[in-house]
Amino acid sequence: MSTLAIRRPAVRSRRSSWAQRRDRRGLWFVVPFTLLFLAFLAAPLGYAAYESLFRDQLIGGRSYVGLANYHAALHDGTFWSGVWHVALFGAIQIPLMLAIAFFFAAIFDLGVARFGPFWRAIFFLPFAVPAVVASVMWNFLLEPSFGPFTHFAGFLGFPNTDFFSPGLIWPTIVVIVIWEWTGYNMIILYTALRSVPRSVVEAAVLDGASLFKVITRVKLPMVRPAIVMLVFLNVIGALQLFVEPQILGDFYPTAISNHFTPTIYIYNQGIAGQEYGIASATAVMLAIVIIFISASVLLLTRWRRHA
Amino acid sequence: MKRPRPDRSARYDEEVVPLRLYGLGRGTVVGLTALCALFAIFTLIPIVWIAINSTKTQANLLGSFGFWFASPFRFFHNFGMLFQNVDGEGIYFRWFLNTALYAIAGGVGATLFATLAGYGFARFHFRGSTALFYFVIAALLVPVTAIAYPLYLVYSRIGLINSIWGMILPSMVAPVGVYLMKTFIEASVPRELIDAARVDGAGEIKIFYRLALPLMKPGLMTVLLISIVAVWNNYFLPFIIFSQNRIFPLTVGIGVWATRAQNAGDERVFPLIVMGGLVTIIPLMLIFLVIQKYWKSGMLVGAVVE
Amino acid sequence: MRRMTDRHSRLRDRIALGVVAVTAVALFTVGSTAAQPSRAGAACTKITFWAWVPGIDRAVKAFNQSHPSICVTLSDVGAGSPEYTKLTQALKAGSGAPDVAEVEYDELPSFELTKDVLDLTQYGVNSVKGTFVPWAWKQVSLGSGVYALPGDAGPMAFYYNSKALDQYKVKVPTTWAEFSSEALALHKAHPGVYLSNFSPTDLQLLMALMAQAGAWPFQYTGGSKVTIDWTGPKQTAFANFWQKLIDAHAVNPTTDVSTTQFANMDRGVDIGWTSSAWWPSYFAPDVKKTMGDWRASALPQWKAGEDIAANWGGSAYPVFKQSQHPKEATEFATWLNATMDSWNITKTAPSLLFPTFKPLLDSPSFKNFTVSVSGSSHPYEIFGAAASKAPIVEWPPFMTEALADAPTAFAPVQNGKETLAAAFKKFQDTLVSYAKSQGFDVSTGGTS
Repeated sequence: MSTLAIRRPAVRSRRSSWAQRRDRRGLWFVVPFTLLFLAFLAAPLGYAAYESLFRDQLIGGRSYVGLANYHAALHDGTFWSGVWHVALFGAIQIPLMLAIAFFFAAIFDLGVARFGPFWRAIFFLPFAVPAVVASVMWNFLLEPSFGPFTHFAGFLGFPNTDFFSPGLIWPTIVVIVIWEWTGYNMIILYTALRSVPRSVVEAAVLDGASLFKVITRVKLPMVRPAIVMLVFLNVIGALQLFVEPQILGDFYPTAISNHFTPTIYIYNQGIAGQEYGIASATAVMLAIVIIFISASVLLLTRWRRHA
Repeated sequence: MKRPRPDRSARYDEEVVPLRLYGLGRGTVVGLTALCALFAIFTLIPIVWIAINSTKTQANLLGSFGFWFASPFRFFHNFGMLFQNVDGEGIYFRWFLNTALYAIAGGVGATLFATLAGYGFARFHFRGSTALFYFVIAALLVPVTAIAYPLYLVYSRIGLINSIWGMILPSMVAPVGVYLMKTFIEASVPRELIDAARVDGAGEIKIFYRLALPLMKPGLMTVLLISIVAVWNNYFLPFIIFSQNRIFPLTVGIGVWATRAQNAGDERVFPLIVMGGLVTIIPLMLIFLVIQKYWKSGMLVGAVVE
Repeated sequence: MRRMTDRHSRLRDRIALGVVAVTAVALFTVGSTAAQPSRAGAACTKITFWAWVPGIDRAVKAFNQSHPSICVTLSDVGAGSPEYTKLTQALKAGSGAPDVAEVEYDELPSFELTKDVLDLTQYGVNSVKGTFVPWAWKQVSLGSGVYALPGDAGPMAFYYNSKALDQYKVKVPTTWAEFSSEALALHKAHPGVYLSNFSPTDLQLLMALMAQAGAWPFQYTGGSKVTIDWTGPKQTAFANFWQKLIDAHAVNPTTDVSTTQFANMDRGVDIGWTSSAWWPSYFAPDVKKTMGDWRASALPQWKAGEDIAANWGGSAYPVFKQSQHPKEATEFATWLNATMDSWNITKTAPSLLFPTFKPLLDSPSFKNFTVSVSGSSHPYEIFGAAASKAPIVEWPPFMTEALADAPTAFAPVQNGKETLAAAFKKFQDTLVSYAKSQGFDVSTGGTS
């Protein structure tokens, strides 16, 4: 058989119609997913965008207001304070969690700790726990009057610690989210690290690199794509934080305000306040913010790579 | 040819660079292992808590020491209550079956569609494929709270309110799965292989099924696991679209109990919530332990390497 | 080598796939067959009923048995706000709403406004009007129409740990002035003990107390005009009264009906509680040390010798416009709330509803009712006396929003960062702007 080109042809117009027809057959692979996607994700989204141009009032019913809802959302101080909160939350939680995840992933990959598979299995367990259950568990553990952690804090010299007080609520949520997601991130990083060819590592070691240098100079750069993907997913997750504060808010209404995170705000506007139009506009606004922040973060990592 | 060594403990894995080359002493190993143990304790605390406290009565839940048992020992009683309709608030066991149904149907469906789509995006270049792919990924950026009510509206028009398909079908839409499969396929299913088969005259479907699919298995398993877990743990979607207690999944059911415990002051359900939480997480943990072996030896090659 | 592993794993995968498929089919069959009690002869009219009262399924079952032509299905979709949000969503979308649902008195006006609840007089409910305490009937009426059957109520009393009060030599307060001085004195003598908690984040409790103080902040009789007044002289006086106690740490700022509060009560940190008739039964499961010690006494009055009660919550049972069988739905709702058969079930644990139904309220056995946490005393005598004297209040049609906003508005008070009066002002502003954005004609002031 004649040698086939390893890379696809550089100039598109040189592709044969046969190739084009074949490629169009690829469409069929994508169609089933796309249909479901359009029906269950894109259509409601479109409808939400449409809704955002209207306003529903208890007195007066529905009326077209054009971009007035967007104007209101843009100037809504509570919304932006929520955005600020989750951005700050993400800025602290994500690097912290990824650092921990990468630390352990590197350790397991290099085999410099014993019982690696055992620890890995344990670290991954929280992934099996739905956020609802996790919130309930942590609620009991951190309960201000009888929770074990409260007792422990007292033991350490901090009596009457209220983990759900305004000062501690965000650190508490950071800890809960780290508990939930570190294992998942660690496994992804671990498998990425495992795919780095041995030869590269051996060469570096034989060149005299220390363990620390091997991790930071050799392995870290080679798993950058995984890290970028995780950063992207985690940023989206942080900016859309909803379930944990919502459930905790049921137990501690004083800890979680109705604009604690942007998604909680949207939920309260739309579903509790029945202001679907404004809620939709706020949601679109939030999506724009998320796009902006994710894009910035991704660009930042790309820039760092070329630096 | 020798069979490849199974990946056992890293300490004896010959593929790992020998420790002495790093200049590490035993002390470092012990120290690092200790750090692992510490984080493991942190990870296990809530799980151990829930296991121990599922055996307690309401009063003991609030009054006794959190990390040890208290009499009376009520594990079997609490477990039995999961099968009863406690105070008309719903039957846990039914929610459990519902969740299993949604998770397996939704997870398998999501994996199937994501694999097909990922393959289509990876190995074909039809017009607009890049744009469509990024559009799909962009959908991740929209908060699900935004589409909750519109989704409800769409459902009410087409009669999907309180239908299990209303839960299963959207669960089969997994942009993350498509992304993962696409990158995995790009790396692990060589273009040359497919092109060679095409030149040999094989049909696309046969190529997909016979040639590509076996190579994708590790990625497939990953996406399957992630999809099943995602549906199992999904709270918001079923919360919005279901108003019949008997089709609730576990997350919503436990949520109903939890809000009742707070809003209606009925804290009798706390032992149920704790026991229910325990039973909710055990199946997934078992699945993890079973699927573990697919992750040994870094079988996710390619999914994350450029 | 690789081929063998491939074939091996292919077989294993096929088996696994098979198992999964079979399981899925099995689950599908199980999951999709309605596990309802199958009724021989599907000729019964199907009614859906949403409620969260624990144990109300017993009443539903009894109704189904005694009324074979009607099949009621109960669904617990969440207590309070979660149910209301599902209701409004379904009503707005045009489908998915139940025939009958449990709706608290404070939420009923919002459904009356959107005309989603039916006027039940057309089905003859006026015939049972006399069996309910007047204020409850007024709560479910608007003009000449009656839009729900009254259900239970939560008449309030001062609930106290008798042993602890004896121990600390505290007199049971009969006026709020006494309450205040006792609380302050108690705290001075024993800083770790409180006469009661105070949690302004629980809006329903807060407003019940305000009603008793003549400081009701709303005026609404239907339509688009509403008055919102949280800053009038009576409201401010009320706020200042409690602020004094908060500042002196004489009341415990813990969230009401929380595990924290119940633990405090059982451990003797809180020795009293302004509570309603049904809370003590919920408190019982958490009690270990103080079982049997709790007593009820009439709620303190603002003026000595007065006898104004307060009511905290309670639910009514309307029939919705979307119902296909409003007559049968009304029949069920009427049976549920206006028959002794039903009340004999719902008055017992775990439901322990407190009636607005006069025949039960006035019966001697009811007055002698005991609950475990109160030992041999008869708290229902106190609650019963209060039940017929609750003030008549006008709820505005946006209580869902107000209830969602309240924790945020009042949390700073509980955390000691803001005074109650200042929070009242902020809450006022929030509600006024919400009402205006919803198209209401809002006026402030002049409610007292």
